[in-house]
This record gives sequence, structure tokens and C-alpha cells, in this order.
Amino acid sequence: MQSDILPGNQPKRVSKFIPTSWRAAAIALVALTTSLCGGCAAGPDKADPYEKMNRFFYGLNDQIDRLALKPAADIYVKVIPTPIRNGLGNGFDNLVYFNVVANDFLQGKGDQGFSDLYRFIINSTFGVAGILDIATPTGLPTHENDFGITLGKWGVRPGPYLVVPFYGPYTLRDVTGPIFKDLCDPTTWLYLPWQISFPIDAVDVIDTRSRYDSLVKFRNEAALDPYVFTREAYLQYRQGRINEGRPAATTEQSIYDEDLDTAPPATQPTSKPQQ
Amino acid sequence: METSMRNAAIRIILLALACTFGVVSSVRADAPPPTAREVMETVTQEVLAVLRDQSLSADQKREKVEQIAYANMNFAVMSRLCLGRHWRELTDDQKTDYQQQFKLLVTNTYGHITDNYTDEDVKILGDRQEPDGDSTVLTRITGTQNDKPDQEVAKVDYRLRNQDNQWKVIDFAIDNASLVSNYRSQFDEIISNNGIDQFLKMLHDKNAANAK
Repeated sequence: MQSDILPGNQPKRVSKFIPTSWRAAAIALVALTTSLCGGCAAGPDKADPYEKMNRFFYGLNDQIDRLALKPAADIYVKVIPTPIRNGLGNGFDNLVYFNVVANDFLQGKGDQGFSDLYRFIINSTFGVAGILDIATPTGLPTHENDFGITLGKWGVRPGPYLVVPFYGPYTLRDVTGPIFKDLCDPTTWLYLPWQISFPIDAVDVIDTRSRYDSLVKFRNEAALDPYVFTREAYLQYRQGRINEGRPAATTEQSIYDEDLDTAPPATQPTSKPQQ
Repeated sequence: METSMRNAAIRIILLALACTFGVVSSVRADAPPPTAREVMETVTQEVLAVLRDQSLSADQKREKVEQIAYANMNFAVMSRLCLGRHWRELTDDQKTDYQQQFKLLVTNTYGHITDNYTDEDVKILGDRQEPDGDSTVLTRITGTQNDKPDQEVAKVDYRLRNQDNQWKVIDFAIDNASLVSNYRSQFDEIISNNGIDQFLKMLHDKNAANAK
């Protein structure tokens, strides 16, 4: 339910608020709509060919956030003391940390993979199911990783940008991330009754949302068009995670070129962009 | 008596030495202008010193950080880059108006970050020469998260351009998301769909809303 994701703050724990089958349904809905809409897409080279549909879901997610998530997160922060919230946050991180370990190895990062594996084992046992993060002080820091990054490193292109209802911004490639993560989540395999799994998932979502508050404020102040702001920030952030600091090789004209008058369309200097 | 004479003599010698060093250091400042990385090192230290100064109020801190930013950022270039090809479509009056409003928008939003400062530290990780002569300085912000100190909060890359023998910031990217690139996409979409007048109106409205 991250409608307000900003760079650097990808959800470490994409919500399980809605059970896996619901997530599959949401993704299927997007897939169906995009295939029906195939004819009206602008072109294969555009990063956001389904902008109209995406804007609709963005608005929907924003409303859900405003009416439900944000108020719930505000109460959560007020009522629950910080140490307990930190413990819960650690616990939710640790629950799905095998996702990070697996993707480290899939990307050939052996050292980080073993470091994360030890971290996962130490925190799951001595850290009381991950509530106490005792691995960080021993030199096993937390990392973020997911299957979308793995595919990106393997050379898979991002594909179209998609705003998934209830889940927020993704690309077609990156929706594989949360699905892979669910497979690494022990609660997926325990078939817990909803009376137990629902409260856990709800707190997870609210805890995650509470950590985004200052970033949502930042977006609201900085953006002239919040939809485009979120899209650009998301796409660049994801590309950065795949490139890891290496500058991306671009063939297109640099955005830092100030000589605008020498730019290509010299015949019609004030023409609108082609569709 | 003799000791006081000697003290006076030492004092004069020290003064003379201080003057000499003063001259030497001013000569040195003339010779090589600071590199992009040195500029960012100075800016970082100045900003952190302001943020850590307990005697300053939140407003005073913002004001001082703003002054440092104004001295080291090239808003003229930054704002032009954000408009891209649309820059040519503006009249001279619109250009002036746009640049003022743009500066206000950036200052306002990023100024609020100073209010949220707790114990963050900044490390310069390295720098990179760009093909067009610009220089990118790579930094990392660390701070306490979830009660754990020295956690990476974000990576910030500053792109500097040398104009009039001075390196100034023309863009920065937080975790790879660049300000220029982001605004360029937003502005392009708004201007293409709604025209320049409507775009400028939105910019004014945004700043008015942020001022409340």
C-alpha cells in the first residue's frame, strides 16, 4: 500500500496486508488492462505507456493513504513507544530477510550473501525472532535487495511503468520482487489463520507507512505534479540500485547540455513533441 | 624590566610572523582555485557546523544554510536545465519570473530538511569527471536509524559546473534521483499539456501554498 514511495525509501517490506492471492489479483488486473489497452499505448519506447490508467490507480492509492493509512500511522506513532516500534520494525525486516540473502547469491555477491545469512541466523535466534538487532553492532549491517534488482543485473529491461492498486509504483520487471519475497516469507508457508496473520500484516503496513511520513511531506512540497515526481524518482532510484554508483551509459542527449538552440528539431523550433 | 622588554619583542616578532603568513595565505588563495571536491568539502563542513550550533534557532539555521546554498549553487543554470527545450519558448519577462519562482520552490522545500536534522554526518566518497567538463562529487549521509548509529540515510551526488573559474552546484541526486531530471519531466509534461502560462501559474500557486 505504498502509494507515496520516494527514492531511497523503497518499502523494505512490501505489504502483506492483502493476502498473496489478492496481490496476484491486483497484478492480474493491471496486466489485463494493459493488454486490452495495448492498441492505445503511445509506443514501445516510452517508459510510461499506460499513464492514464496509472494516474487513476495513483489517485486511488493516494485516497486510501489519506483516508486510512496516514491516520492509522499517526495514531500508531502516538500510542506505541519508539523502542517497541523499532523492535517491531526489526522483526518485520528479519521475517523476510532470507529474500535479501537469496538475491545476494543470485547476483553473485558471495561476501554480502554470507554476511546477510549470518545476520539472518543470529537475529532470528539470539535476537528473539529478529526483534533485537544484535547483528548490526557485530559488523553485519542490514542490506536491501530484491528479485527486481537481480533481474536488472541479469540484463532484463524494466518494461512499462505500472502503478499497482493498493501497492504503488512498480515496473513490469520489478513486480517480481514482492512475489519472490512472499515465497521467502515463512508466514506464507505456515498457512496461519487470518485472525493471526491479518493483525500481523496490518501492523507491518502501518509501521512501514509511519516511516515514510517526512518523505510524503517532502513530495507534497516539492512536486508540481506528484504523479510524475513519484514516477521519475522511482525509476531513477531503481536504476541506481542496479547500477550501484556506476554512471549509466546513455546515448541520448545529455540533460546537462545548455546549448538548447543547437538541439535537433531546428526546422520547427517551437513544435510540440511527437506523440 | 628585562623580561617585559623581551616579551614585547616576542610579541612584535609574532605579529610580524602573523602578517607574513597572512600575506602568504592570501597569495595561495589567488593561485589555485578550489576543485569541485574541495568546494563540496567546505560547503559540507560549513553546513554541518551551522546545523550543530546549539545557540541558533531553527529559523536562524535555515537562513544560514540558505546563504551557503546561494553562494555555492548556480540557480541560473539549474533552472534553465529544468525547462530544457521549453526555455526558448518563454518571453524575457517570463524567464525572469520563472527563475525567481524556481529558486523559491527549491529553497523552500529543501530548507525544511534542516528542520529535521538530528545527528547526521556527511562523508565525501569520491569525485568523477563528466565528459562535458562537469564534475560529480559523491557523498553519503549517515545517521541514527532504528536506534542504530552510523546507518546510511542516503547517497547524495552533486554535479558541479565551472563558470568564471568557480565550481558551483547545478544538480544533485538523492539516491540516484536527480532534481534536474525530475523537474524536467514534470515541467515538460505540464507545459506540453497545459501551456506555459498555466505552468507558471501552477509554480506561483505551489510557492504560495508552501509559504502558508
